Amino acid sequence: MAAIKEEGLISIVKGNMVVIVGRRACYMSYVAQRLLEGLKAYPTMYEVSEVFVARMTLIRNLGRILSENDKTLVAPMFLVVFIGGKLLGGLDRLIAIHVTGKLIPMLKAAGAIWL
Amino acid sequence: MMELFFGYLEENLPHYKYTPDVMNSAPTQVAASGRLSIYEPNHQISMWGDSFKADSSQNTSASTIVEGEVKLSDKLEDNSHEALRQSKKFDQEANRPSDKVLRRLAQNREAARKSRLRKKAYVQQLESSRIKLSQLEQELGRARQQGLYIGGNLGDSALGFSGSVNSGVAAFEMEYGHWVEEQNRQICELRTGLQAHVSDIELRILVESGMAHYDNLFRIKTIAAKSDVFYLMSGMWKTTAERFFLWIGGFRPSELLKVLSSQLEPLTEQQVVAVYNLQQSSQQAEDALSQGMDKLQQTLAETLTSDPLDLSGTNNYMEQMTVAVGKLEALVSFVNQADHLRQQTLQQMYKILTTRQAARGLLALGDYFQRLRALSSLWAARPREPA
Repeated sequence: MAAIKEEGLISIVKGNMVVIVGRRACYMSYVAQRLLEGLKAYPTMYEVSEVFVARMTLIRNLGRILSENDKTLVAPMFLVVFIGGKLLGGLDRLIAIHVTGKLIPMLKAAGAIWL
Repeated sequence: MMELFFGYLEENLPHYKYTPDVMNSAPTQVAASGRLSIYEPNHQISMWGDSFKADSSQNTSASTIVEGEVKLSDKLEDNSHEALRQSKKFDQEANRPSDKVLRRLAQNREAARKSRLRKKAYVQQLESSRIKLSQLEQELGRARQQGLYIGGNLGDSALGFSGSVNSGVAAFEMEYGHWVEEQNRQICELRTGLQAHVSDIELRILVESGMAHYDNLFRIKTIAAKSDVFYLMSGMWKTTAERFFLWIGGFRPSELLKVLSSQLEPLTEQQVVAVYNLQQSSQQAEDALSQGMDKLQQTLAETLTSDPLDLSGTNNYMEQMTVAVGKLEALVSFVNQADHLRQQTLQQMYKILTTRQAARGLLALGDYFQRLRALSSLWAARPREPA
């Protein structure tokens, strides 16, 4: 994975057909990558630093921490898959979409694969 | 021999009860334990009872059977004198020492003979209990392999070093045992329902509970994965033949679909295409996960590899170990993702099929796993040449 600075994240996501945003050496990111590559859709891998992850997790949990409503923290947010500039979700969502046969049409629509 | 005497009396002669004022004017303390009780229907036994009473007067604590027996055995030799004294009381009016001596000796012989008989019976009882116990253990082993998980697998686990019982694992074993029992029951219901040609509405109920039952399995597996992922990955909770097909802590979805497809004819063209696509998708997801596992193995091996002779690397040891531990935690994600794939595959299959087809599919699936479990039992019971 090429380490790209976080400022470029939005332009990367918008400018590429398939983007996987994940931590370095994350095995689930690797699984997502292999799955998409198996479909001949070659995703752009965007690596986020641990500092970034901590910051994002804090922001996401801020509401809960401040309101003291719900003490449970959210599930890990990385990896995240973007197809055609739109957020898809994590690995389980990617697999679910694929099993229900919706992934390939989505990739075709984004221009990532063609028959 | 004498050590067994007292407990033996209590167990085998339950009608003997202690009556405190029988033939003894000497003050005695009744032993505090309720088990120390003797009732004398005849004079012979009363001699022993009296010996014991004399003995119990010297017991200040509440006696357990063991203590009482030990003390009794210690005292019996000494008590011969006491018995002699007390027997003198009974025969005071007769006043014939030789008779008394003879009678005492006869009584001793009689009591000793009875004691030996009782000991023999007691030992026989122990022997038969031992045989029964080993029979039960064998039955348990057999029942276990037939898929009835009773009491857990931990005894014959190959992971001998994990001596402590993980409560999460124990809980999972128990729940999985119940799951298998319920599964067997549901399979029976499906079979009778399909053979009896029940209505689609009734079939639908059966199918929905079948699907919900699989959801339960994945739910308890998720909890177990947090507790001990290696236990799930080892497949020790499954039977031997099932373990042969193990893939990331469970069954391989594409294999499952192959098992089902042949059983579901006739399918519409649309269904055939959908099933084929599903098979492709699940195979692709499986491949991606398998590649991830290979990568994990590779990097873990690399993390643990370092020059053992490199003294300057000693600081790295803890670092490496910490990294390695972090990598192992990824296994939890792998098992969760694999289970998620299994669940998705089953649910997609349910969407493709009609109610009747889904019922046949669930039956075929459950039957397949039952056969695998039966195979495990047969394998375990196969005749082998002596080593």
